[in-house]
Amino acid sequence: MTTIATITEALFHEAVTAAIRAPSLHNSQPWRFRLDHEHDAIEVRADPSRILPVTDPDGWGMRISCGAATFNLRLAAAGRGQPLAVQWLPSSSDRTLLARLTPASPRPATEAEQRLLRAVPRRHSNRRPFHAEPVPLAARADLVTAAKAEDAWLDLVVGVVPVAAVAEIAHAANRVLYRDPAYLDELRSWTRHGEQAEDGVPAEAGGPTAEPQDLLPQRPFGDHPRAPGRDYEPEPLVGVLGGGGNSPVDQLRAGHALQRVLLTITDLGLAASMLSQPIEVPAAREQLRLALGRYGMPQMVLRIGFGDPGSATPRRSFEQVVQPE
Amino acid sequence: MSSSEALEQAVRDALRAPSIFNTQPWSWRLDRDVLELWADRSRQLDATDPYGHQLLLSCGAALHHALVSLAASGRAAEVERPGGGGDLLARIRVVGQQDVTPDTMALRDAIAVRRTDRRPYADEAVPDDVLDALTAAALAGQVNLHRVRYDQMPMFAVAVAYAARAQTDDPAYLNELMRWTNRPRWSNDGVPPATAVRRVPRRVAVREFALTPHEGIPVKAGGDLGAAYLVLHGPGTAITDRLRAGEALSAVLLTAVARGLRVAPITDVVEVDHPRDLVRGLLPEHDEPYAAVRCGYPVDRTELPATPRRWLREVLRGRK
Repeated sequence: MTTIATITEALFHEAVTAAIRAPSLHNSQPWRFRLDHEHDAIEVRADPSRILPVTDPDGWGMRISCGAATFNLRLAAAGRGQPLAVQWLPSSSDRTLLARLTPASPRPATEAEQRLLRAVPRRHSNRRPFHAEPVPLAARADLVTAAKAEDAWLDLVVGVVPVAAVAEIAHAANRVLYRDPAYLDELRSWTRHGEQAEDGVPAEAGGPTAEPQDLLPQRPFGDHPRAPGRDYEPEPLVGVLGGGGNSPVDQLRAGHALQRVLLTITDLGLAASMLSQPIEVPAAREQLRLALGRYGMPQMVLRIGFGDPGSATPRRSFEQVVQPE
Repeated sequence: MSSSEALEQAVRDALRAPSIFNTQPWSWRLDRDVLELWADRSRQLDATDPYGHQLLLSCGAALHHALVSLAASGRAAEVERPGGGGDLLARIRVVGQQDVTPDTMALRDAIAVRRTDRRPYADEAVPDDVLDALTAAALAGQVNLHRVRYDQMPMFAVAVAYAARAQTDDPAYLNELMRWTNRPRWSNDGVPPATAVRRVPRRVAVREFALTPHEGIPVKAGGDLGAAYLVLHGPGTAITDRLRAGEALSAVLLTAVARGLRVAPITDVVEVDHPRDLVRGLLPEHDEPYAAVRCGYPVDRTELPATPRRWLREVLRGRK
């Protein structure tokens, strides 16, 4: 079948350039993209060589990341007036094919899409302490709405006691993970110290070294003592994002929604970091689900606040993530 | 003193107006009792100010300085702001005499002593009646003044920090900053390192004029708790709107100085798109923010040196 291509090389290039700005576990960037000329479609594929065997044995983190990358990809296409429809896991035989995107009816980009698209290059995880001031109510409402717009939920954990409960679950999960030397080795192998790298987390993008009074555990990328008086915010805004179930499609959808929430956070001038430790440990995840009183599955824990600008992490280039024909 | 002498004195006083990177992007033409203000586009900052917004703001401040000077010499003046996109920004015509009020004299006296004071201010809060006077000064020029509320301070601080980060990540900006902080003495413009301050943690970051940590005036950390952060805003984005914003900026600065405050304009936050949008979100009606001002009482009462200004003959053309 030959048709007139709606998805041009230029559109593909622009969409992929946005897609690779998505977050991933240890900045492992476990994705590949292919322009399917024959069917006028874009394929989002997993890169099995980049799935973290110890941290992410089931591919949960990979699917969250690729779902987030798919959101950016669709957002960039919509920004050019060509929205893309998504079909998750379209092939029952080919499980590395995560999503197929096909042209929908062209229409001009909405104001909201343009705002989120402008936030794409500015978004990055901010693992450092935030200002102590609370996030305004209007912004909280915007974040909850952003998750709903993508068929997910975002529960904001409000109050000292509930936040402490979530923090306790996160710390317990952290202790479980850190008992595993292989887990720590993997973390270390993705931390970059000054060298020119196109993946992994540069030490300067990590937060300051953990101290006993910290409420939430941050992954230790690099080792830098904090400045005096620069403790973590005493009452962080913690959000738990989740979807309906925990099938691979649910995880891809959750990643898709996560990216919309993260871009909304960036657009509002706020900063966020992600805590996946409670999700990585099954018992902790179940505890979190029960604590929230949710039937759906938690897929990511977010810490949101006013942060000073941090530094973006590097990405592999367009050529490196595009599958040759 | 003849009208043209009064106008010449007005140009001399207008030289003291604040301008972006002290570029002094204005030129004046005098023809008997008519004085014209022209934008000097050769002094526009291509990286920091690609749209010329800060240039218009600086010219507006100079225009207000000139009008204060004329009023203090007992002249009544008519001002015409042609707008329209040309470089002729304003025409001042002396139309007669008027009485000089004490308030006018106080503003005129403030011209000579006003400095951009980048040091942290004291914990003593700016009283409400002073803030009301500043709001009235801005409103007299048809520009609104918003005081950043306590609950808005983190967003304002973050917006300023984002603007600073965006600019210092831009090599073209750094080049421009380097150029205008290292001007030859004879050029009589730019920001000398002697008026920059050392880097210390601040409530809201100040623009880094000192490129290395060792340059600049040493200051104590902290402070600024009593400082008021004010944003000049309005609905319009035309040339005359930005010119009027500059006039209002000057009115706010001079009124504050006349009341014993120290002042520092903050414009980096409106020079970069995203931080400007964030500040817009803090304003009533989501107006256009033109500039912000930090004002407060000094911790360190030592006087700052004046930044250089060009000679009158360099900015004024025409006959008496």
